[in-house]
Amino acid sequence: MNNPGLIYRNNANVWLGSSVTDLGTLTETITSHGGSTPKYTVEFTGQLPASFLTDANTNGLEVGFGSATCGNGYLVGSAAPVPEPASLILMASVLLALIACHFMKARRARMRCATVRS
Amino acid sequence: MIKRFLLTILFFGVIANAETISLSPINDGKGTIGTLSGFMVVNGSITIGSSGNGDILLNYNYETPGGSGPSTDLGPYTDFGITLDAADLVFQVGSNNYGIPIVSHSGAPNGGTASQFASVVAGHFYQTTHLLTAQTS
Repeated sequence: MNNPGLIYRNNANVWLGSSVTDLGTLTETITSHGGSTPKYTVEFTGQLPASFLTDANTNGLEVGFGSATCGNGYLVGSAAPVPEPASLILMASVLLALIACHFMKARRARMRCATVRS
Repeated sequence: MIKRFLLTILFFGVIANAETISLSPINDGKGTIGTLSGFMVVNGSITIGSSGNGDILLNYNYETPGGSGPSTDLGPYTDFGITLDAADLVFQVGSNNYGIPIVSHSGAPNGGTASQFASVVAGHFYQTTHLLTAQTS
């Protein structure tokens, strides 16, 4: 941030760049805990943008947060892509087909037994 | 029987879409500028519910206003004669970048190049074409 000489984690992402698109608003609550640790809790709640969720479900996401613009005290986290609804439906269809096969096989076995008895 | 089985699959499908991401400090030996109580982020979490609701928590140790700390909650610090501002929470999703500012900021901080810096409002969810690092001028 134009502070040569005090660059700490110089390659850590810390701020949004010049060109931004506003996707929505979350409710921000800042709670100060006075002298205890942690001194602040910041909480954001609300509906996350649909485009972000779709993107994250497809690609997974990586999170980075520095307490200051020098990249100080840096937190990281990540999440893998999650199955989309279409994938879940496909999975359910496959399982349904397997179950149907199982029942048809059992029915055929019962009929065969009945034929042998008669 | 089949119906019950399918309902079970659907139930677990919904559960699988709710996720909590833990945010942990990296241990790269670079420590903290200034006092620990003044700057150190502690931990955080991001919970995304099955309906797309988010609950994002960040715990950190910005000094409370007054004394040697900032003049406002999560306000900028002056240390070693320069100003350090609170950073944004940044998400990288594939080739796309998203972020939520903790505090509002605008213009060019500390004499930086104005064209590189956005004006953003705390709590808004943004998408951006690029992200800035500590080296950005």
